[in-house]
Amino acid sequence: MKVLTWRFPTKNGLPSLSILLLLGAVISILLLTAPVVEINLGRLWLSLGKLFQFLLNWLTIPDWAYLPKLAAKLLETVQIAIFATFLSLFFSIPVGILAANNTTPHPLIYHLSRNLMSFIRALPELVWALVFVSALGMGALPGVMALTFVTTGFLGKLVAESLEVVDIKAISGVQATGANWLQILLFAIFPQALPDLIATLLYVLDHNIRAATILGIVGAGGIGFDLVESIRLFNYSRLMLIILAIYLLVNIFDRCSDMIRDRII
Amino acid sequence: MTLIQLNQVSKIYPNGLEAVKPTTITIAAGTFTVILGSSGAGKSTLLRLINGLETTTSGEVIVLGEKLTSQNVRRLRAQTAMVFQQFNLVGRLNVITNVAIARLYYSPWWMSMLYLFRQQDINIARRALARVNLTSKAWQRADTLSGGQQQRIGIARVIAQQPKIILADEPVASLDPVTSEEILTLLQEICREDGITVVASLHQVELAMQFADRIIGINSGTVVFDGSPRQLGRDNLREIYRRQDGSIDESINLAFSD
Repeated sequence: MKVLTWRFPTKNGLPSLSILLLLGAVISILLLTAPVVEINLGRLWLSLGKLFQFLLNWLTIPDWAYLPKLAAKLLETVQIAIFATFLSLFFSIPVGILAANNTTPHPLIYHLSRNLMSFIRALPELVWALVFVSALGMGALPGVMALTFVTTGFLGKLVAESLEVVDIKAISGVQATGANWLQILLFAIFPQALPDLIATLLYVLDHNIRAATILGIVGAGGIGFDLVESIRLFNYSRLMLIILAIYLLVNIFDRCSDMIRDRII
Repeated sequence: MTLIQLNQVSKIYPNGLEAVKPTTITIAAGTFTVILGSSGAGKSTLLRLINGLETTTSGEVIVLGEKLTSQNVRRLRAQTAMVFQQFNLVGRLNVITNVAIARLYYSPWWMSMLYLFRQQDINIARRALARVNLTSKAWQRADTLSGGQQQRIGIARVIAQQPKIILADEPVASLDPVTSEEILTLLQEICREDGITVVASLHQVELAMQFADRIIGINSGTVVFDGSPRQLGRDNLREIYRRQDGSIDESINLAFSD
């Protein structure tokens, strides 16, 4: 018998038990959940024709007259996203400070702010948008409110995590001079966490631009309302323009944020 | 005059490690004391107990005649500056800010909120930087400097703090031999000329012999030698560097080849 010439870098040369268990778990979860989502190759095959028909509909003359309104709605979408992101930054930083284990003034406050944020995150932005639309009426304001709310839940947690990973060395260096809690935060923790914070902010802004495009579905402003309407009315000459515009917007923004990220880190 | 007094001080970490066993030490004003011991002997912990970066498990720490408590810890830290093995600068801030950080205790909170310092504090930081010959690097980010330069910034920071005591925790352990001597010479100068009491932990015998007025040898959290460099003999060194299993660290025999 030929002797094996390779082995895993473990004690007995076998793959580690925890990785095998993990792999087994992932595969069995997939097998157990597949029936629920009706994975069915036959059904996919039969609908290919319908999909082709649908795509053919797109070969129509764009509704150029719609462009100015599209631009206005798109601008509104971006404004909602940017305003909500930066507004939530004002709430996220204090909440994040309270929810980071190295800056929190008290363990009780730590748990309280963590729970508050996960409560906010429990519902997706569309549900919050529905809540705010029924409270404030249709328009961009409920959209901004909903997005700010949810973003604070996310960004606060991400800010806390950025603060927590700051190296203890810089912190104890400043602490040893007799600096107080606020000074340690400002002079040791913030400067060291800054690249991480900016990367996080860009990521959240990126996410919010996508989120803002669908807020209009429930009447909370932005391009979403027109998007859903043209799908419902089979208005393909508009739909193609809207989808193309959203694609371009997200793509351009993505590139810009990549550029900024590279500069800073 | 006694500046630092440890009365039966001990430290047990939450993981059960007994870093410092009940120890009593007094340190007189204006002296250069070296705490000598191998890695893990409890040197760092001992120093960090003095400025409250670690809290004692039992016993009391008296600094400048005051018992260290959570109420006066910041005021006493301002008088007890610290130099670290890894320099512990804020890498993304520029050099002058890193030195001015030593003045934070005296900065009003609203100035700190705006990253402002009083003019007099900036001047103190400038002079401290000139003293370590790094004025030309004032506007560079601290993490762009070499290890030796960073430690000189660390020294400038303690100078700017205008303390009564300097605690230096393995200040030269990450540096080459030439730079190590430079840094310790600087600390010695500060001790002699400004009359600031220095307590430094080291693991190299030769450096301890060269710079110390007094050597305190510790092993496994216990003081095993306390005296002048001239009193430190071969047997004492064996005691300081004896491992748990009874064997002796070979590197110290080299140090005593004379």
